Amino acid sequence: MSSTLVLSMMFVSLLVLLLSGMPLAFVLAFLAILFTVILWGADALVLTVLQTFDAMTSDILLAIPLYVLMASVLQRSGIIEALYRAMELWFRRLPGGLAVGTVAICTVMAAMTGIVGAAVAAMGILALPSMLQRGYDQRLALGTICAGGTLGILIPPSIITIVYASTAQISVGKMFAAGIVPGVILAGLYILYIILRAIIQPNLAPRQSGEQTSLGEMLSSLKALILPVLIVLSVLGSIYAGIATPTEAAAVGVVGALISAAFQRQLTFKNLSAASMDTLRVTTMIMWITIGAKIFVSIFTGTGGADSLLQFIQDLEMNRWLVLLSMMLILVFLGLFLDEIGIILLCVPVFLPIINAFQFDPVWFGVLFLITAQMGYITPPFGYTLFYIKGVLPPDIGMGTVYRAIVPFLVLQLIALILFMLFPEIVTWLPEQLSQTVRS
Amino acid sequence: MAVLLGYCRLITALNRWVATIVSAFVFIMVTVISYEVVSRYFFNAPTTWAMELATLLFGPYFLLAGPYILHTAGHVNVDILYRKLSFKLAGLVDCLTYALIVVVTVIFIDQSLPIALNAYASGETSFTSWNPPVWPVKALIPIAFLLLLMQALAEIIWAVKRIQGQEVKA
Repeated sequence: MSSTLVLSMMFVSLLVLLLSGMPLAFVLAFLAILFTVILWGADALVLTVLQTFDAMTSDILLAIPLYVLMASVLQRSGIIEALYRAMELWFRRLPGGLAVGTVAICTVMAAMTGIVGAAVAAMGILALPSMLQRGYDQRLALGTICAGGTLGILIPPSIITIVYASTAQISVGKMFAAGIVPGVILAGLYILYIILRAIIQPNLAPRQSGEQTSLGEMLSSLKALILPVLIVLSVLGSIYAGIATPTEAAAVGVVGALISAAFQRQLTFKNLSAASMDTLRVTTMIMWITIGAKIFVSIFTGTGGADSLLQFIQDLEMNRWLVLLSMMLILVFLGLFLDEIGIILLCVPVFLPIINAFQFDPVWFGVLFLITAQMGYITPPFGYTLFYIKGVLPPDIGMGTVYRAIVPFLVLQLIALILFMLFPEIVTWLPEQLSQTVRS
Repeated sequence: MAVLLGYCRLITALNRWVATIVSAFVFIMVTVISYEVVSRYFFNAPTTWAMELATLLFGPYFLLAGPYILHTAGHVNVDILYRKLSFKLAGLVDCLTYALIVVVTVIFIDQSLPIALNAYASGETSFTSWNPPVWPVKALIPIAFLLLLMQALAEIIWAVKRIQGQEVKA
């Protein structure tokens, strides 16, 4: 069988079986077994165990439960509520202040956790009622929360970034560094947009009057920032000072999160066991997909599928930017119905030889991919954030309002994507500055 | 029938218990890795075993939790069409997809058991400076897939019940 035929058969059967509602991890494992037997016979099935063992002993993916635990502990520590109160005091005098502050908190949370659901759910509970009560436009409020929540994908530490770096076999530390500047630029774009809209149409975000806060009150609210900032600095600092690997830094971050939970008097057995069950659930889900995808992809590369695909594309003699654009479009298309982790595990091993052959930087491509992933997270009808926001929506707001709310933010993400495509230095500058010190 | 439902409840309880136990592994990983960082950075005394021990715990951690996550429907799936199915039709589709999962588990057990037995018999070690035996981790693959097989069978029994129009999920 020609490898193009194998490739198309594998992906068509993948899509068909997925629609049955069978979990992605087992769809991949089942098809991998089926195609192994068809292509190489039952003797080759031993590769299922070899790939499983490989996933089980990855010290890079080991970082996933640690970062998720850090996030879950912090989420239960009451820190986010304290941060939100500080933000309200500091930002409310700005045009669109509460929305601007929401983006600011999402950025801080992104640097602490890197799990999209956490930020969207927390802001849906805290920021949404507060903004609506003060007469903010529903769409502005909802769009801000959805888009702000996805910042965690790009700003380190991020679970999706770890999966990308591990699959593309590049340093997690380098990949983390690559997300910082683009993440801050995206947050800046959101804030700029909110302020401009609030100045042009003041009725969208009514300014507060009358409520005066003393300087002392404002300063003391900043205490809420101390522990999160220390945790972020100790995690990222120990990576870039060369003290610890990203996996080790995650363990240090967990200790920091436990200490800050203790300071907030939230270090209870109930909170700890809930946090560890959350962590187990997320990690298990990701790692079982990893096993399935590793076997699935090893068949594709094993039959020479990746080589012949590369040859096929080189023979087309397309412009390299067109090749890049086609890959991005495939990622966006898959993002409409596949989970982002699954997309990385399936596409990156296939795309990587193409990226290298056309002399694109895999770190830079990773950031572009993470931005398309952010777009996927807020695009109706299957974006993840939409499901999180649905859970906290007041009864008088329909999902149609949410869908319209995200449109301007989707455009902002697209602008950022084009910006980073045209000026790769924005992405690659920081990782190059830091690459000397990073442990791997 | 009561025997079958008893089996379903027993297996689910067993797998829930296994998941609860392995969920605590993450705290061991945190402790061991933090010890390594402190001991290397502050006392200039890196260990040979800490990172490897944490990595060895990682496999059992997510592998043994897989069966319980199957029960709680925690594995990501695409439910665009599935959501629209009637109660009985969804039960029928469940029957078929869990049957495919049974096929997967049988093949994994069949492939991993000889490898685990071989690692035990030959006393294979990891060839690192700590050099622990590798059979306990390798043996966990067939064990985890056996638990998954038993859970998938339980889910099939429940799905058959749903086709018959009964809601009995524990």
